[in-house]
Amino acid sequence: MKTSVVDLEVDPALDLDPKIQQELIEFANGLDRPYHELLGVASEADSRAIKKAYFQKAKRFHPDRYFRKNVGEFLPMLDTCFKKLLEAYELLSDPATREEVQRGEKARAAKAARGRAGEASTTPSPEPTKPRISGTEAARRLRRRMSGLQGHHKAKQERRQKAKTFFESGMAAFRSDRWLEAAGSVRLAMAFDPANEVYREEFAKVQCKAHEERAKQLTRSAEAALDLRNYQDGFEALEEACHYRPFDADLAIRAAKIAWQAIGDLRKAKDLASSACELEPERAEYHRILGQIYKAADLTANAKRELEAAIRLDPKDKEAKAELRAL
Amino acid sequence: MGHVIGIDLGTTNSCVSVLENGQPSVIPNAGGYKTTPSMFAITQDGKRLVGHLAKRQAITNAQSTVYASKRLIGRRFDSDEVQRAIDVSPFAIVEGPNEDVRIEVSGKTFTCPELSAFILREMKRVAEEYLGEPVQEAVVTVPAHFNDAQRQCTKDAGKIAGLDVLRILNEPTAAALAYGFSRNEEEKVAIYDLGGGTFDISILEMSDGVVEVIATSGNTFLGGEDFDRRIVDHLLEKFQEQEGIDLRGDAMALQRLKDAAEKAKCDLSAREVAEINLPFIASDDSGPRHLSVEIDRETLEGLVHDIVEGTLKTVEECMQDAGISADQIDQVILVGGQTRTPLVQNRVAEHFGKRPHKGVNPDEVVAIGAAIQGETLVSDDDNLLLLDVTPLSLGIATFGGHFARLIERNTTVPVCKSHIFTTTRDNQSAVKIRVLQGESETAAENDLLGEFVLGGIRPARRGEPEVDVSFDIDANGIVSVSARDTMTGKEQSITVNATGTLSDDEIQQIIEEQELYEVQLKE
Repeated sequence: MKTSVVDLEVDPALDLDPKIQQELIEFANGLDRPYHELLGVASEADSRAIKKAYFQKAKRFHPDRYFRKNVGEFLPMLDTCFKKLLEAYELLSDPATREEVQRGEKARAAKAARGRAGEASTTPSPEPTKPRISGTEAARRLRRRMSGLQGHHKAKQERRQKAKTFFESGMAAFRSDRWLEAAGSVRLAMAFDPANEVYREEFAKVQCKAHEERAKQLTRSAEAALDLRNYQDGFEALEEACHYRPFDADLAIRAAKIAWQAIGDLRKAKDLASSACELEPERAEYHRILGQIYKAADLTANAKRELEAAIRLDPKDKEAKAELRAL
Repeated sequence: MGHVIGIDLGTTNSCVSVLENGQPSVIPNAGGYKTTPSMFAITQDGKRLVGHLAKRQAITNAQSTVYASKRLIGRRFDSDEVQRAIDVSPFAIVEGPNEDVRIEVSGKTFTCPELSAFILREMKRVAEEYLGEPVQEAVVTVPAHFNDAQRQCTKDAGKIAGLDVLRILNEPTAAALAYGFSRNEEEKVAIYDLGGGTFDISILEMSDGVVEVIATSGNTFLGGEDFDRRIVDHLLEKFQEQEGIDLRGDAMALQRLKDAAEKAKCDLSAREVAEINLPFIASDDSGPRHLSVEIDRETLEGLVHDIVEGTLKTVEECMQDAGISADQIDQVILVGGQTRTPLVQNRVAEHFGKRPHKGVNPDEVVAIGAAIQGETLVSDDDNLLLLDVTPLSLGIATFGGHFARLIERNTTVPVCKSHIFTTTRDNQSAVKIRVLQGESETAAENDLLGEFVLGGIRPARRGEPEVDVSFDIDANGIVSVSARDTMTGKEQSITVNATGTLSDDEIQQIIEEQELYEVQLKE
């Protein structure tokens, strides 16, 4: 999640207490903090304390408090802050969603800590697929399920039944290798029964396969386009295929070459080539291509660095040597 | 800045209140009454009457006297509720050009917002006379279960009446504000609101000057008028039994019966037996006939028992929504004139296991709450904050005619919620987002608030593309919906301008017409 940095300043001319302005700016700058911090309570605070904190903050943040008053640029911010506050309260005041949320937050914090430690080492850890469902989203779905529980028993059962039907047809498709269809059906099953762990687990598997399948399709259509010298479409298909195979360095470098030589989009070429180098840092060829792209973009220092890396990894690389001499 | 008035625009009676020096007061009309009948009439010689004046001549002018038009506002002509009303109303209900409801009075056709505007204008006038200064701003209350169209029509009515409606407030919430005003206790409160035409139940929590609505539920077509109708039916049967004459086709007789029924019902709240005497109600070959029926409390209770039980079922659902049990409720507050009926009081007391709170006047408390909310909004006072909820679920129509909820009913506003949807056909290039409001799992049974198309989706197998649909309700209750294709980043959105039945032009036209009429009066 990206931290949105708010560059508003306290303006004493507004009909909004400068102290509250300051508080809002701080709140808006830390929207991705753990929910209990947003409410200003300890992570183990009881429901009473949570409600009290919510009411206190709501009294300062609720847009009604500033109805038709001159709050300038703070108006949209009040709206955002209140909605976030409400989200925090809703999730933490329900024991079920609270557990889910806090588990997610802990995992995130641990991962962030690992990430920071990882920065020092030279090999970046490959991370093939990002999790599809964030902790908050899972909690929100769970929450929706909980509120659905109260009063919509029949409806819920119907939804569950539907989910099951979708899931079964999804699994059947999966067994006959129709992976895209399988992913679509299981996704629908998840939408109808978001709390079902089995669906979610299977979805991850099916989606992995579906992504493979999609990447294959895209690569095929890219090849067809490239055969016809339709470089733009060919490149776009390859680029999308990279999205589905984020760990495939070979694919990335192919796309990079086309971007560089056929389309002339050096920025994209550079991004793709450097991700290939990151994925497989020992491949001389990748560094050479990246170097050549840098050279085409007149970034000589970078070009030199990459070409030297290529030669260091493969002293026999004549092309790299020639390029380096030309610099 | 002038005062903000609070108006309880009721089905049967309306009431206006204002805050003076921090204290709410209910404003009496010229006749000294604190409530004004929500009635409008045109006399034989073309004079327009509102309130008590309209009520007084209702019997002799039944066809040109409109009452309970709130039950029709914002509804489609072909809805069950409207069809039911056509059967029992002495005035003519006709279909308007937008499938809406119009009412014909003395050869002129009025929309429901216009009719409500007559009442609102009267309440505005009452307040202006009392305050000795013009009033422009108001908070107007509606039943909690009113949908978007009904709320928008009520807002339009305010505009026609020359009022800037700051907020449309739920009646039970208003009652809770009035109750919680200047109290500083932590409590959970149930508001049982049985008015002339609607029933609402709300569960609220109060603490530190914050009033949080936890859940609200109700029925917009159930109320005191139904009690009256049951009594009228009973009287009709009795009369037919005794005299062999069916009075059902006689508008004037029906109006007299309705008045008598309402009076008998009120009498029976204080006494055990009420007498109904209607001389010369009919005549045949053998001369005039008189209706004389005695009705006791037990008979009345037998007639309306199922209505009361129906309200308790709704109460039970609301408690479930709120996730609390009856014994966790600290106070039960009765609102609406119909709660004076001993049967209602007893059944509610039994249901919650405690006697209802006696400190508020059920006829006035809603208007007072509206005035408090109005004043709180415009003043710098920060002692009171209302956390209101959206009364009906919002979502979109999905494959197979299903309704996918994004915002559940009883969610605090302002709020923003989103969910990922996908395509249902291979190579589908566009999705249609149909924004719906209601509680049915079937899309077609809910109200359509608006729709739009998100195009430019990349060709892919069904289930592959991801469309992020997000719903947003701001503090004024304005709903906006956006859909974004996560792959291309393409986005489409709409602001749902609740479709009232009148366009801005039509409203302007009506305002001008009414001004013309006012001028005519002064000539």
